[in-house]
Order: sequence, then C-alpha cells, then structure tokens
Amino acid sequence: MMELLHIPAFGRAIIALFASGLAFPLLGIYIFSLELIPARFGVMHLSLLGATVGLILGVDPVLFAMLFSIAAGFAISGLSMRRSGGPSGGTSGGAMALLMTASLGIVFILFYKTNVHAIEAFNLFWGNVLALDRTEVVLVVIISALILAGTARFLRPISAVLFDRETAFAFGFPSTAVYTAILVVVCAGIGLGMRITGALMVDAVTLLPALAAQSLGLNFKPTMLLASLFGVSINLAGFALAVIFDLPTSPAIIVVGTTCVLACRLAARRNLKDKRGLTPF
Amino acid sequence: MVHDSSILGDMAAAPGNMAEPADSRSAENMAAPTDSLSPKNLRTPADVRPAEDVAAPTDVRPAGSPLLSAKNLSIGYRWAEPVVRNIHIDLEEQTQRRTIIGFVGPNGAGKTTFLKTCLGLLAPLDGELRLLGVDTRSASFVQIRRKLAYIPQNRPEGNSGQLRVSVREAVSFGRLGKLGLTGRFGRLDREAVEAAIAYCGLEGLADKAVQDLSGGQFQRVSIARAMAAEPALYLFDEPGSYLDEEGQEAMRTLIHSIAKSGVPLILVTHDRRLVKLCDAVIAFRKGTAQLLDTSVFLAETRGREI
Repeated sequence: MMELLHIPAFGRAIIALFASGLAFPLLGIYIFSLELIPARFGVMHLSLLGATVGLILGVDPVLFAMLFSIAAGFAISGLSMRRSGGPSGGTSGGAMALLMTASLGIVFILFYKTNVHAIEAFNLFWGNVLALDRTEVVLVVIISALILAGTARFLRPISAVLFDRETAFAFGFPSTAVYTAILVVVCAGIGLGMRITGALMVDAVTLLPALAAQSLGLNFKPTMLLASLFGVSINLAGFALAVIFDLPTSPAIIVVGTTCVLACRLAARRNLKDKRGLTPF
Repeated sequence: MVHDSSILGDMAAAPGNMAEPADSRSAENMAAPTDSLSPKNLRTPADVRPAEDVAAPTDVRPAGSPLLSAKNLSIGYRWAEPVVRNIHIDLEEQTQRRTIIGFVGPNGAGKTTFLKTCLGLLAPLDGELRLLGVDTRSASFVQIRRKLAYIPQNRPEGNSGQLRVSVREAVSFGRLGKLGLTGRFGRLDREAVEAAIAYCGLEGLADKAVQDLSGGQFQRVSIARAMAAEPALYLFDEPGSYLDEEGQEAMRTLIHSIAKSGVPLILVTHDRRLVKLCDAVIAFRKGTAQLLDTSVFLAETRGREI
C-alpha cells in the first residue's frame, strides 16, 4: 500500500485531489446559489468544442477545453443579462441551452469536415486522476489556490451578490463584475474538474461536498469551511477506497460523497427533531 | 405639505409591531424586542452612534437640479411593449429637505418598473430619466447609485434567497456600495451597521439567519441595510407590505422620521395612509404617469382604492 504512494502518478493524484477537494466545493456552493446546475452541461459541451478545435490546430486539447470553458463563463453572464434587460438577476438557463446546442452542432460539423476522430475529443469526458501529468497538477493547484484566495478576500462581496444580486447592484456595488467573475471561475473549475474525474462525474468534486455542507443549515461562512473539509475528506477517502478495493477512482469518490450527503441530511433531520423535542425515529 | 398628525399620533402603546412569525421556528426569534419601532423606542441614527460619526446626509445633486426628472420617457422590459409611455416629469424640490415622493397607482400600472428604472436596474426604453440630476444611463450614474438605498418589497427569490447569512451580515451589505470591491470593512462601517441594527430593533436577532425571520422581520433587515448605507435618497418598494396594522403604523413613523432627518424618500405604495405622508405623487394609470399634488390625488381617489 505505502509503496503505491511513491509512484509519481499516485503522488500527483493525491496532490490534485487534495487541492481540488479544498477549493472545488466552493464552486458547488456558487453553482447552487446562482442556480447554475444546467451550466455544467453547457460548459461540458463547450469544452468538447474547445478540445476539438485544439485537436484540429494540433494544440493541447485540455488547454483549449479550459479556454473555451472560461469563454463560456463570459458568454453565460452576457446572455443572461441581455435576457433580463439589465443586471436584475436573470437566470442562465436559456443562455446555457443556446450555448450547449450550438456548440454541439459545431462540434459534429467539425468531426465531419476534418480528420479529427470523435473519440479523441471525447477522451476529455473520461477523466482520470491517475493520468494527470505534472502540468495539469500544477494547473489544478493554481486554480484551487485562486478560488480559495479569491473567496477569502472577497467573501463579503461574493455573499452579497449570491444573496441578492439585484439589490447589491442597486446599492452601487459592481455586482455584475462579481457575478461574471464567479461564473468564469465556476466554468474554469468545471473544465478542470472534468479532467480530474471525467465530465460525467465532475459533480463528485464540486456538488456533493457542497450539498453535504448545505444540508446542515449553517450560515454561509461555516458552510464554505465545511464544504472544503468534506471535499478533501471525500476525495481522499474515495481514492483510498479505490486503491484498497481495486475500484475505479471517480465512482469510488462519488460513493463516498453520496454517503456523506446522506449522513449529513440524517444528522440535520435528527438535529431538527431534537430541537422540536420529538423522538428522532 | 403638512404631515397628517392623526396618522402619526400616539402609538406608544403598540405592543408588537411586526407580523406574526411564519412558522414555529421563527417564534423563538420573536424574543427580540418587538416594539422597537414604536415611537417611544425610535431613535435617530445620531442617538445610537457617536455624534461625530454620523455623516450628515449629503445632497449630491448638481445645484438647482430636481430630485427626479423625465423627458419623453418610456419604461418597461426589453422585448415587450412599454408599460408606461411618454412620461414628462420635472420634480422641483418643494422644500429644501424632508421630501417624500409617492409612486402611486393600481397593481401593474408601472410603479415598480419606474422605480427599477430609477435605480438603473432597467434601462429606459426611450427618452431620458434623471435621478438626483444625473442621467440613469450615464457612466457617472454609478456614483449616484452608491448614495441610494433600495428597500425591496420581497425577499430575494430562488436559490440565492436560501443563502444563509446572518442579520448582521445582511445589514453590512448596505456598506458595499461605498466600499466597492477593494475597500476594507473598517471601524466606521461596523459602527454604521451596529447603529442601523440598533435603530431597527434587531439587536436580539443580529446573529440569526435571515431565512429564519418572518416577513416583517426581514423587512426590518432591509431597512437596516438601507440605513447602514447612510444614503442621500431612500427608495421603498411597497413598505409595510408584510407588516400587521401596528407594524405599518410604526413604518409610517419611521418614514416620517427619516424625512425629518433631511433625507428624501421615494415610496412605491397603494396605501392611502402612506400617500398622505407624501409631498407629491406620481400617479400611474392607463399607461401614463402624471405628477400631482398629494391633496389633489387623494381628493380624486376619495372613496376608492388607489
């Protein structure tokens, strides 16, 4: 077991899981608060478009997928504001649907018209934390550090915008800029998360720890701290489970994350019943 | 305009001003003083803060410019028919201070749309709107918005409304316009927040999550947030809509006391007793808006809902 840790791929995986476990659950809280659940799918499709363009140009597809994810953040922000006719809290659902379908259409035209094999582009969707190279791990650490530092520095402005974007704007606060920055970071995080766990399981590192922390009904700041704690614990426990029982890493992380969410919900329910003076079961 | 003294009469006996809590969880929150908005407890910001820290309301208007003016203004939502067309208003300040302007009219007439256009939340569909002398579409209007305090009618909707922040944090958001993105939340900001919390009788609730408050308590939080901003103009959207009878009376007293302190207010309302506090009203009806003297408007609408 211990000798596995000396294998470079395992060392890189642990570093990436630790860093993303600390930071990415904060993105999950942003996703829930800004109702960006559908955004994940939009970003995935734009990442696929980015990877395809990267392959056509002969450039690293992961890098292009990331750049397209970041562009998605700006696009969602702009489109959702155009829809609402101003900075008054329009949702991004329609904007996402537009981006998603348009990018998928372009991707298939590119597959048809170029020599890019679809399976190469779709490889992006099958992330594998053990396959991360040194550059990708550095990218995960940098993005995670930026998310943590940005959240710590701008916690009050961020919570004001998440709480009520319209009123924050009305008070003269640059809520549109903060909203766009949050969206861009969320989209970049999803793009990177796809590389770690795979597109279909990116929720494991973003949403599940956030869901577990939020279900305890604490205030914003302790929820953020707990989400980070849960994120690290879920990632590392899931990885250990995968190593010990010879399981694929991402599904093992999801199983641990789901168990954590259920345990937190049970604890929250017990707590509520205790407060009301009723028998828990 | 003379304020109706019968409305602002003796309310000292008011036992509790806020609406009943929405659920049993909120009941424990009501242990906080519920009569803190009654006249005997009403304190001006100067009473609850060191006098030297109380910023005098600053009139940010260019000299001689009206509080609000509109030329050929059409308002509404993008991609839809205008809600109100061709608004022409030049609201000369009737007194040096203590100005209350009412936006009145039936539901759907465009009052809140006009308020949101005043705040820059919606762009005018056509024409020009100036608030405190500055065009709401100009780049410099952001400076004006930092001097406004908006008190919305409702809690924020959707998931964002579920974000659990304490009352103290929510009130502190009122300071963010002044601080911008990079400003540090310092001693003066903390004092302004605590003063607003005390003024609105929220000391006992300061560490509670706003999600656990009743509608009336949440409205007090919104008012405290507005006061923490130390604004040059308050904009209330349907104040008192979540309050019971006594709470509404306390709200009228509060509005009167703010006006007395020299800060002008805009009220969106269809409460006749609030309209009576106004110095002038902009009446919205049948797709138009008209500036009227309050007494004229009240006489026109006597005996029917406004």
